[in-house]
Amino acid sequence: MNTKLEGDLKKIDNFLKQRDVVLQRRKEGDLSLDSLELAQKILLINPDVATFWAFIKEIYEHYEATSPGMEKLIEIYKKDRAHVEKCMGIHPKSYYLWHHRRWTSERTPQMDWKKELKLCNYLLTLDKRNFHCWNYRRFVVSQLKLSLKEELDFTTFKIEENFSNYSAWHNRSTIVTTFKRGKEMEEKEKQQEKEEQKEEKKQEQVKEEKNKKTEPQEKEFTFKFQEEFEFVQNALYVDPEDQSTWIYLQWLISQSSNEGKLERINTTIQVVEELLEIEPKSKWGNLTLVFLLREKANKVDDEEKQSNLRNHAKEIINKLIKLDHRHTNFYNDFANSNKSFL
Amino acid sequence: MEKIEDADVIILGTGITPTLISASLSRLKKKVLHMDFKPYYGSEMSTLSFKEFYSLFDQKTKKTEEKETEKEKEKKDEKQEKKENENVTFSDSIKPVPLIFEESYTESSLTFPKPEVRRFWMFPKKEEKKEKEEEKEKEEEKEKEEEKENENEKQENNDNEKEKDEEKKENEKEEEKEEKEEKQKEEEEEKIEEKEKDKEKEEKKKEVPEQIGSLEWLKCKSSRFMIDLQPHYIFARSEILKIVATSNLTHYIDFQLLGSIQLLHEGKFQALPCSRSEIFKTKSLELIEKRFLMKFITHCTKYSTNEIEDEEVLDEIKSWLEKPFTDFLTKYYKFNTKLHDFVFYTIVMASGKGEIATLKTKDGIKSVYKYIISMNRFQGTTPILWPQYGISGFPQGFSRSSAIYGGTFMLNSFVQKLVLNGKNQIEGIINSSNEKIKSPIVISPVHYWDNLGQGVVKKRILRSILITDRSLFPNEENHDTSLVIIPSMDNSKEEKEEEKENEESVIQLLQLGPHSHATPDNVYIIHLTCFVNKDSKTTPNEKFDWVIKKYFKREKSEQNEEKPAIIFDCNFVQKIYERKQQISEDALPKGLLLFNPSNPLQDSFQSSIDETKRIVRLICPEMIEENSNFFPNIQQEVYSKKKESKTESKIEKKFVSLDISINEGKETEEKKEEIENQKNVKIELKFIEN
Repeated sequence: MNTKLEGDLKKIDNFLKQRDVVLQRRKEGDLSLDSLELAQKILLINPDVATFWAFIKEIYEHYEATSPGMEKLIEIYKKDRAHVEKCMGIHPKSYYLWHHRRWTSERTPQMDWKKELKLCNYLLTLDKRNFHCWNYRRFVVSQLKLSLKEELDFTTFKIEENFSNYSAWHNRSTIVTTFKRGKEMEEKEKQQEKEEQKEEKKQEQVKEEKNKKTEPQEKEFTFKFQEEFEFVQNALYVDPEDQSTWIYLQWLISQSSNEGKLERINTTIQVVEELLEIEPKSKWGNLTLVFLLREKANKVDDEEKQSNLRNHAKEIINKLIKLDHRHTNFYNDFANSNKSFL
Repeated sequence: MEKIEDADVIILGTGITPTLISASLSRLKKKVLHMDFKPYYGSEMSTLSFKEFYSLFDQKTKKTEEKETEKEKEKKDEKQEKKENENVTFSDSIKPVPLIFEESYTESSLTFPKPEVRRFWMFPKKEEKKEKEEEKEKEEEKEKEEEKENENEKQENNDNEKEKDEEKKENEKEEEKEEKEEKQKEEEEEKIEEKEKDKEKEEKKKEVPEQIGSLEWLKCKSSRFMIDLQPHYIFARSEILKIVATSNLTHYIDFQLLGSIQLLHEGKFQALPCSRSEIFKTKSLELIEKRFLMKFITHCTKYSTNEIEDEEVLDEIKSWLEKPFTDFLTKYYKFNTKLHDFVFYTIVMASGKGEIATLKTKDGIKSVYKYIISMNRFQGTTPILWPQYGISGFPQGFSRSSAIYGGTFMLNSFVQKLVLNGKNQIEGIINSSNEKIKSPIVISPVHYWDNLGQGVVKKRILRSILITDRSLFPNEENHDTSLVIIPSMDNSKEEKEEEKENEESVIQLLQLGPHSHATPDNVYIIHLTCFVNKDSKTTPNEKFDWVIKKYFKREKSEQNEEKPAIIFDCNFVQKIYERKQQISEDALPKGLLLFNPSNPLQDSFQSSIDETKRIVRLICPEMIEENSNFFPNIQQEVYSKKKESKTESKIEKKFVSLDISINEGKETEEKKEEIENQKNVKIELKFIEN
């Protein structure tokens, strides 16, 4: 025990000494490459200190101001990437580290984004749920301008590996959102086109050609809500205890377009009730049912129907309190925050 | 070679059980002398090259074996004489019975004829048709004729006569030498080996015959074949693997996961997805089936690790423990026949309907748990590891391990006589070179003492080995190495016979392809195995015929391109021996310890490990505690004693990397592994000696 303590004290002492040196340099405004080395060295002991990362950024800004030429810039950022990758091994979930990575990537001339994507994919095999990495990956993907289809396939692959993965489901949701937005834009354009139909044909052709050039793949890709529901349903049947899938299902319902929403809610209620017949004790299944009943009540005008739905939901909440009495207050709070319905 | 005059223990046979015992005792600082009458390691579970395998069916080997039995008869006579003289020495006819071919020794009552090599035929390699074509065609015709003859004479030896002659010529030289210099057998062996090597070299110089499938071709490629006499299945989490890992055996054996385990269900080969990810992905199961299967698997694993929180579920499972597992599946989990059969045949690996009817739920749950935790260990879809270069990697590895710790190994030699003192206690042995070796303990497989009635045949193993020209699953590359379970015949005619057979009808079909390093490129070995009752009269031919007819083609004229064509096939029968539970003490001399040979009915060599512990505890009473280490690593001492070269110790320290897969965060394993799994990282495991 004593030897361990001694070792720890030595480490702390060492870190503090180095810290003082680096902080002194910063105070003096010493933005030399020598200081860079010192700062990088101390980050290898603990990568989760914002000040040192900030100091490094200052040094790079200073260095860039001396206009050293493209080659030297590429070289220095290459070294930085290697350093950050080492730090990732020590502390893969440091906010500052990932922020720094993005900051340098944006500044690097002739950035090799494909390599960066490979790195992300590799890191996501080591830890499938590192949301920092998922975030950074989305940034890389936006730089590479990958098609939605490719991205959807990647998340499908990740979810198939293990669907207890909030980050992967979230990534999927961003794809759905982008797709929906794209579709809305398209529809608006179509309407505009209809209005402008009487205008000269030549102009239209030019427009269409432009559209084709900018987003050729996006037009081929269609996101089918029905298929997505089946995908989710599959996951629910494999493991109804997994919260992430239920959350995604709720989100998906909230996203369906107004036209078929009621119908969509009804079929989903049916699916969930079927599953609850086999797994009556599923906490997230029951809670999702309450959510669905609330959504349905919002869509129904008939007051009698509304109160039926309300009673049904109340029953479920009471059942949940019995089943999962340790979380009684959670359910009470849930009921309170939905006062308009429950 | 140094002459050995005494030992603490003499061990006979080099199957998995004796080599485990040998490795353990050597490590526990006993002086071990290990003998096998065969020229290769492994006994009943050897892995042989094609030539070695082929020679098992050959005239020459049979002759010598007969000679051995004759010798034994003589010895018997001697023994009787000496017994009459109130013996100081006692000798018994030890029959070093190869468990491979019982018929060379056992009574004529067995209906199964001699092992047969039924057919060789050639078919031209698609692209390489050259000038010699005509000649070859003639050869083919000859072969065909011979083939027909052979078929007519099935019950006699029906080898290709030409081949025989050649073999004889080769062998006669060897035989002569054997007769001349019996005492210096080992030296002579080396010579033979050298000769054989020379021959091999010569053969290498000769061009490899262009026609795949001829006997010549098979012989040329001989050393590329790893033919296992007795396949065993090793689970990824099993005691044997722990022993292999902790006792530095990993650099003798390489493993790969079986590509798939499939069930012949409703005429199709189907695999059961068992991991969460596989079940999620599969399209072969209905949603409801997925739910029940997942529920069943989670319950089994959580019950085994005491993690079931829901008391209702726990009580329900407990109420089923003593009841039949089959009802547990169909009534509690509402499994349909498809899921039910999958669980029984591929997970529990039931040997037949008899086992399905009697298996208790508690034992079923244990099997499922073992299967699941084994599957979660490595990245793959099956829980079973296959040793590359054959199953005899295990006995060979343990032999080597024993030798490193000072054990001495003598192949091609056997015990002629046991030397006893007046109190019926073993003092030593006389070996096949008429040398006396002192040792108070002789450890022997039980079937060597068949005539004393100490062993009981528990089961017969019907075996067939085919060599084919293509995979059963040509479109699935990862099914190169696959286990297929064939529960029963699907034509109703045979059902009556099944009943007779006590319904033990499951056939295991193991395909080993080039990826397993057991065959040359584009060639596959098919092992067919069926365990039948000891009294069963069924022959391998009767048992496997319909499978072979349905999934393989025997004649090249058959038009079906899809089916793999058989290049070579042969049938034989093995036995599973077991010690009688009660052995009368007078029947055996003191110091003679008998063990059960390998038992392929149990996976992962569990029965051999249990036998090893029992025997080692008899010799080293200090090992009685439950968690004693039977395979301690004490290398440094041994090295300093024996002054082994430094290079060898370096080899010992070689790191072995194991790819530990991700356990998806399921907390069922030991803490260390848990941490590894959480990291989700491929980890290089270092096995460093103490």
